[in-house]
Formats: sequence, C-alpha cells, structure tokens
Amino acid sequence: MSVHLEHEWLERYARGELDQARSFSVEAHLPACEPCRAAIAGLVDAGRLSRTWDAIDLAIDAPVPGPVERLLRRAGVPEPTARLLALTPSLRPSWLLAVAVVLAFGAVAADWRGETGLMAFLLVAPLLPLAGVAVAYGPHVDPAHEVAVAAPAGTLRVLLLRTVAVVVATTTLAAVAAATLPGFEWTAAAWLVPSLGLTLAALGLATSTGAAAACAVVAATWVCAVLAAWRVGDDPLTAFGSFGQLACLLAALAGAALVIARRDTFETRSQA
Amino acid sequence: MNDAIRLDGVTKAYGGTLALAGVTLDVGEGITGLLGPNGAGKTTLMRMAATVLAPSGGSLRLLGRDPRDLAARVEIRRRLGYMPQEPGMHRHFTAFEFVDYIATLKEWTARDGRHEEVRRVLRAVGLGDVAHRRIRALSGGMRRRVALAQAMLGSPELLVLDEPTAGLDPQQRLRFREVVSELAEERTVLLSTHQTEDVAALCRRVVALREGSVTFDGTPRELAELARGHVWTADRREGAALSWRTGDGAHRHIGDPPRGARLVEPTLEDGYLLLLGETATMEMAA
Repeated sequence: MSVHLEHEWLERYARGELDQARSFSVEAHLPACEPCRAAIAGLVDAGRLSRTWDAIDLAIDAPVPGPVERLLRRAGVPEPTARLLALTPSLRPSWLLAVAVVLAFGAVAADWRGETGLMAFLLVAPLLPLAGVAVAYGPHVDPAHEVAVAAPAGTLRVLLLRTVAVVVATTTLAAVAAATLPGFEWTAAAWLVPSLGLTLAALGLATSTGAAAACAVVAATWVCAVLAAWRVGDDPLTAFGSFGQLACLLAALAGAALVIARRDTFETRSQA
Repeated sequence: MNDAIRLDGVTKAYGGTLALAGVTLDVGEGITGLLGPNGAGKTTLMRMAATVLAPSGGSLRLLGRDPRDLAARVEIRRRLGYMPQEPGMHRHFTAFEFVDYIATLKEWTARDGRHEEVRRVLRAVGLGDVAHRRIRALSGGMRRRVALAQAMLGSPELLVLDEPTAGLDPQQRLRFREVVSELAEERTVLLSTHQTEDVAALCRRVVALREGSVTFDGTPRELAELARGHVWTADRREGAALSWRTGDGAHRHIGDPPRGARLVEPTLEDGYLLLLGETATMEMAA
C-alpha cells in the first residue's frame, strides 16, 4: 500500500495548525511510513522541535508529588509550601499511622483502666505532637540542612511551618481518639493545653539547644511532672486540673516569647 | 563593584578554642582561593561568608550588608550560593528533585520558572542527562556537581564553595574548573581548597590561613615567588626538612640546599609549603 499524506496536511501539522482529528490521523500514519516521515522532517521548525523536546524532558524530570503533597495542594496549600511540608518526616503516612495506633491504645486503656488509663492517654497525647516537632526539621532529619540554613526561606519559617502542620495533624487524630473516650466529659480534652504548652516550650528551648534536644528535655519534664503530681495529689489526674492547665498555658506563653525574642539564633546556628 | 566580603578583625571562638583570630580581609570580583591546613579556620570563615555562622567579634559585611540584621541577612541569602564542605543530600531524591527542593527554599515559588532554572543549572554542570537519576546512584563526582548546581541557582552574585574539588578525579576537577571559571565572570567566588593546582588554575588571588590568621594575601604568582631561591633538586635527601623523592628519582628540597643541589623554578605549591613551614613538615610526616 502506498497511500501518503497530502503535503498540505504535513505542512499544517508541522506548524501546529492542523485540527485535532486530522492530527491524530497524521500521528497514526507517520510511524509506519518512511517517505512521509522524511517529508515532514524538513518542514518542522528546529526551534519548535527543541522546545517540544525540552518540555518533554522537563515533564519527565519534574518531581512527582506524593500523597501528602497532593492532599495539601487539594486543601489549598500553595505548591512550594506543600513541597516543603511533604518532606516533613512526621507528616508521612507511616508516622501518622503510628500516632493513630498509639492513640488507639491510649483510648482502649482509658476505657479499660478508668482514671489511671485516662491519665495514660492524657500523658501520651501531648507527647505525640512534641515527638513530631522533634523530627520535623533540623540537621538530624535533613541532610541538606547546612544549605537550607543559608537559603532565604529561613530556618525559623520552615520550622514553624512544619510545626503547625504536625500539630494540626496530630491534634486532629488525638481529638478523634478523645471523642471515643466514654463518659469523661471535659477531662477528655485536658491534653489540649498541655499539647500547646509542651510544643511551644520546646520551640523556646530550641533557641538554646536545638529542636531534638529541647523536645527530649520537655518530654522528660512533662512525664516527671505528671507522675509527681499524681504522687502528691493522690489522684492520677492531678496534673490535668486547673493548676496544671495554667502551668501549661504559662509554659506556652514563655516558649512563644523566647522564640520571638531569640528568633535570630535559628538563622545563624545550623544545628538549630 | 564593592567588595562582596569584608572582614575587619573578625574572631570566632568555640568554647576556649579560637578558630579565627582577628581576620581582616576584603574579597572582590573574581575567584579568590583560600588555602590552609586542617584546622586553619577555612571552613569557619566560609560558613561566616555563607551567613550560617555569626562571628564572635569584629565586623563582617557581605554584599554591602550587615548579616546580623535579619532583613539584611535574608537579602544576602537571596544573592548567595553556598556549597558546604560536606554537602548532605537526600539520597532517595533524584538530582532534579534535590535541586528543586533547594530552589523552593531559595524562594523560587513559580513552579514552571523554578523547573526551568533547575534544569539550567544541572545542564551547566553537565548533569542534564542524569537529572532523573537518584542521588544514591550517582558517583561522588556527580554528587559534587549536583551540590555545585544548587549553589548556582539564581546566578548569585556571591558564591562560597568549600573544598568543592575534594575527592574528584583529574577529569572531574577539570570539568569543575571549566564551570567555575565561567561562573566567576562578573561575580565573586570564594573557594576553599587543599589543592594548590586548583588555585594555580583558577584564582586571581590567594589567601593563606594558619591557626586562624591570614599568613599570605596575594596573587598565585606572588605565592610561588616566595619560594624563589629556596627550591632545589638533588640526587639525595639531605638537610632540608621539606624534601621528597620525585618520580624521576631526584629529590626536591624546599629550604636550605643540600650539597650539589641545583636551584629550580618554584611552583605555587612550593611557596605554600614554605609558608606552612613546620606545619607542612608535620602534615608530610603524618
């Protein structure tokens, strides 16, 4: 069979002016017809061809967004911010699944062991965002941290961005778990202010020690304080009463004040 | 053009150890090489020039601004490219993904423009064809070029390259020199290295550091000239502390001449070794 495409079709196709249906016909014909391929080769503008190859190259090389990035972008988060957030270890599905499992165990314990079980849930729930913040950003999780510090985006901005995302994600999971706790009313939400207090206190302390160490110190202090309050008050929930809530609120304010006052330390200390 | 880097009596102390002991230095357009033995303070100085480390004392100005001021520091970082001594990378990223990540941190917010820029710098370092390959699958030399590519994003006015040729084979170093010498047109490049060949091949100026102080500041030719009249070749090793047997069996001496020695033309390395003196002897012994 020696049916060939009309020269006018080839010319218009090469210029990108042929309608879609005829373009499909040309594209179906060309792979099987050497004379037509030879005929069109001289008609294609070299610049256009080069731009097309560039676009194909770019489409192949460009990063493919993962599930977290796609979710964030669907939620309206701008593309560059979504990229920076998607690289947060504590926003990975595996991490969030682990958090959900811990909370589920806490909820089961609260149901099974009464006040002591509830104390365990309230003790653990604020530690989860703290753990998330500890691994959100820094030289221990980002091998390119030294370069990142020298970039204009700023260590503090990225750290705060990731902290907010981690806290929102973890708090949402904790809220769902708390909602399943039977008959404990407001006490079931007593982890909320401690969560905020611990996270901000850790950020404040991070201005001196680095995020991971600060989170470890704050977590240890929190566990000791809850257990000590239990011993002193003879009630496992003593630490979650009004005095404990006020102390956590003060810790949150002190942490925020420290971050604001010493924000410069994040930007010139690469181990922040 | 004003000097991009100006240090005036800059000190840096880590606890009781003084890494920089009052360095005064202006670095302007072109490539300036920073030479010095391990522990001389090179990396400390480079990190300061990259705004990741603040001086303990003295005055530091980068691109005409004071990096202590937050707004000024952000502006400096917008016009700065930095390749650290040990550029860490996410090994599961492709080369493109890694440079794209750094471009995001460098405020390239428009996706299409950012991707074009990422491709431009990867092509400039000769990695256009392997942009899709994962970092862990790249050779050491290729990874160094990826690190150089991220430093080139946005064609920065000031490039701080800390030992960029460490671990590269001669062919890779040649490729690197081509890229950096092109980059140096109309911008300031501060390059720290152990390789005197790199300094001889690339730099218009060389600064030598030792124990946190500047011990030499001049052209590569001037550094080589320091050794004029002090470099000898002889049939046997004798006398001079700095001496080694060369490939042709003769002994090259720097310092006092042994018996029967003949004076030879000094190289930049000879000048540098003479400058190092006892430190060089210890390094050679090690």
